[in-house]
Amino acid sequence: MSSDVHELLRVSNVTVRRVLSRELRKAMGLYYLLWGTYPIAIAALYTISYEFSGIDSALSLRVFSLPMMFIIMMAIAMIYAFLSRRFFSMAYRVSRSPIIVNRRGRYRLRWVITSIIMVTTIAVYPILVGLGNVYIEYIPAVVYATLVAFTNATFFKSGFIRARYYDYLANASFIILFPLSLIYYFGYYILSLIWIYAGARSLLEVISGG
Amino acid sequence: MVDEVDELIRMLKDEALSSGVRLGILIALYYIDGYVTFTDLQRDLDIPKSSLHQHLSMLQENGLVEFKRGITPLGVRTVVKITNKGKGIVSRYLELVRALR
Repeated sequence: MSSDVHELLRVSNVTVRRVLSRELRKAMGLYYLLWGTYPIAIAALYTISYEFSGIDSALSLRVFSLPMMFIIMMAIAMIYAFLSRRFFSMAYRVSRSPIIVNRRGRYRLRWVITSIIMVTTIAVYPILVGLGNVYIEYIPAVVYATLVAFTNATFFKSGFIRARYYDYLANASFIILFPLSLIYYFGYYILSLIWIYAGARSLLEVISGG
Repeated sequence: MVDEVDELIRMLKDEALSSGVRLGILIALYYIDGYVTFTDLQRDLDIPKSSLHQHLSMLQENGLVEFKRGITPLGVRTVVKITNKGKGIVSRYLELVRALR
């Protein structure tokens, strides 16, 4: 290939990197901010059910042996997942890109396996809750938290964005606090604050051009 | 292998893709798979407005991007979005790059 083509490819790679590094960081910031509000949304639901006994009794119903509260929490999680679809779609496309650095292994297979384990973990969770042993409930929570952190790490592996201290903070706190919150509910609120902080810092990084 | 190199060179000789900036913008829009505002793009690339406008107009004339005023959460902004034709070209470009690796 001529040197002109090499130069064209070099400039195009620099351009892709400049645009994607900021757009990915922005998507990541919005993702942190959005999911940071999830525990607050659930807490609001509990508060409403506490205030209005009609809603409380409706939430205590069981549908196909699953608690209504669990179904509603999953429905809210689905809405959140829908709202963060741009983040997931970008993460998937970038992870499969032939122009990224640090690319190793079969990404499609890894994504499929990760998604299957995540969905299975969520499906198994109410069954384990039914056993009434909080330590057994820990297992899917730990698996789920680790997989979420692993998926988030895909963004950094691409080399388009650099992992900052608030990324480590958000993901490490998720692995530790998410399972722990099954026993100590305040863990959800700390998690929420850390994720909102990480989201705000990410967006500030984009604005300041860092 | 030779066929792929030839096809890649032919693709890059096309007027719309003969600039590294235009090719880069198109690939980035493919990954983003949504709109990007003109202002954000200009800030990302740190190039004059007139140059960016010229690059985007060229891509639009070739039907690779849509470049228009649109409603965003921050108000009415000029937004840029890749078209299906643009997606097809980037997808083929990435296949060729993958094959050459």
